[in-house]
Amino acid sequence: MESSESPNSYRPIDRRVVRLWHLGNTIRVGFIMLGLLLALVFFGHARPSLLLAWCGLLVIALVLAWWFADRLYKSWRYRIDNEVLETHFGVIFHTTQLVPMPRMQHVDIHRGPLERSVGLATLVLHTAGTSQATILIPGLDAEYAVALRDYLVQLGVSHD
Amino acid sequence: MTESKHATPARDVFAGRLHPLTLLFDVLGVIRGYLLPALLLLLITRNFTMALVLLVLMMPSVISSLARYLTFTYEIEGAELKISRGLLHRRHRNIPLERVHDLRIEQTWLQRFFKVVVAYVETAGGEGPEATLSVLSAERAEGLRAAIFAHAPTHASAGAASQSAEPILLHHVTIFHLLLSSLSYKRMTFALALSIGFFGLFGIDKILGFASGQDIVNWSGFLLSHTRRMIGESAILLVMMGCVFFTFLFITLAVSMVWSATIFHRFTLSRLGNDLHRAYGLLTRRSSSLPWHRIQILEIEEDLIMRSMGLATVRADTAGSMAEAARISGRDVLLPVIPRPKIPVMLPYMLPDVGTETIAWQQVSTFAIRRGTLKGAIFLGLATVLTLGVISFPVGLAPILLLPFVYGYNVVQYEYLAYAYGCNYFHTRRGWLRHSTYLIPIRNIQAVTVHQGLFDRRLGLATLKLHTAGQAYTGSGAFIPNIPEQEAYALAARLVHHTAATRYRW
Repeated sequence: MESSESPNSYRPIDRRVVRLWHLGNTIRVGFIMLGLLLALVFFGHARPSLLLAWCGLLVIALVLAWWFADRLYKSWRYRIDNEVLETHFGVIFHTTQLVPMPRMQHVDIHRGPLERSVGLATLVLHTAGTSQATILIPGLDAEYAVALRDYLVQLGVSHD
Repeated sequence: MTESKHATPARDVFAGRLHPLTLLFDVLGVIRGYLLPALLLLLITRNFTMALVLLVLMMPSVISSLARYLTFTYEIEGAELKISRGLLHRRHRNIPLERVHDLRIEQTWLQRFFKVVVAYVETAGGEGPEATLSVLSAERAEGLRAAIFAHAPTHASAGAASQSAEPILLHHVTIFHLLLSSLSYKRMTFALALSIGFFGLFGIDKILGFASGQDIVNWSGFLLSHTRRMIGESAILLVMMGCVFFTFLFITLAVSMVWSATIFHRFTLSRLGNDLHRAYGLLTRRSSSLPWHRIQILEIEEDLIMRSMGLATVRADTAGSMAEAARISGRDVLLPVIPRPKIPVMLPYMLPDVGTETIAWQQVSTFAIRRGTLKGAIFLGLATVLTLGVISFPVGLAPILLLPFVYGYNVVQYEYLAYAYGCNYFHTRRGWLRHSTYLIPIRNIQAVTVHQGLFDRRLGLATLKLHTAGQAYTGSGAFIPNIPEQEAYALAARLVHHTAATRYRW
């Protein structure tokens, strides 16, 4: 693990995560648009022109949702050295998070059903800070995530 | 040998049970909980049987209190505080002494009469007190506090000091300063919320004695009707609105003054070893100890009113600070009010080594003014478009006329916004009407974030945010917007490497 992590090298997350984000965004858009459609029908505005506009909006929302997932994937990168864990991500708002390794409290691995289905995992690094000081690295290969967790824990122990 | 005997607190401090008056206070608490429903029931139904039903309903709570009193035990064994309770379902809690941040003591006026207190064991866990010992004799609670801090390795110096030295009084808040501080924006807002709640509960018409604006006109009689004829209806309405406003302001001010004087009555901050000790309160007397190395972030707050009087408020967060209910008990402030010139003298007592720091304030980019004005202009432009849709041409332009004020606001904000990188502390300051200065021990930084929105990227700016444990009392903590992009990333990298080279102590 340590040999594969050379300082100053940023790593991308796994490409498979885009599929998950596409699916997640499609479901979100689907729910919102379904709600809008039901509202149109319920309030008696289900005219052909409005339904056509609804279809157009659905297509635009889906394209945007997929585009957003692609861009988010391209923006994601992280870096680990002996002292700092660093993540970069964001499409409209760019965020860089830096955690000093000695401040790491514990490391979790989250695997939801969709993540399990594609063999991915999310690494969650907790510090003693507020919830904003919790670092998430999504889209890691499950085996790699376990190895990374063990490496981080080992690193944390060496700092104590 | 004799000295060593004196250095160790008496054996009975380390193990004990709750005070027998626990039963009385628990029963009083239960009665208080049932009193209002019982009175309401009695008033509505005028049936004493219902009151008896309530009495029966109270019984499980009373039995539970009895069981708690009979089964509750505490003891200090080794480096742990062990608390056990429960009759059928026995619960044991072991709290490592080095994790205890504070043994907070509260005493209501009734408890003061009986010389008993409630003691709260606080740790870094943010879910409220780790354990509540209700009630103990005041003497025993103080003994327990000394025993905990004497045994905890991180409190060793404090523990030793607690037995060898008297506390050093650092600051005593005078009633005059307390009354002045009640004019501060935060206290007035809080008092306003209390006043609104009060009016809402009892009805503004009942309190002010009128049902509508028209009633004032009727009750004012002859004089008012003549005035009406002379100056017209709209002027009367304005006078009425003015009267209501000033009545409300007066009541709010009175509430704020009474609240400040009651909560922070005889506020003292003293130092015992490495612990800062606060004691305050008129009806409920509160005392707490805060080891200075546990301060995660410290804020000096000066709103416009306080600043004009040369006063400030000091807040401090520890890991596990809980905003909930802290404000009403005054726990969120380290010093409710202090003359501004006294703060540099006091700071070394609150944060070690801070006195040796050289503070060179670094201002942010001048693009900060452009960014803020641009955002304001977009907002005002949209507001103008909306207003023009409702109101005709010249008046509808009113929102965009505020643009010079938006510019002025951003200039004033820019001039105060700054940061300073010291040897052991990171300092930031920000604000417009309310100035806030933050001091963050670098060893307590947990994470650093650099954030860039659309406007930031366009102007090459970034916001730097420092995360520490517990930011409940100091608001959103330390963030500095509008730093030049490259500078923000370099600063973040420097800060995390500096933090990584230090040791964090809970």
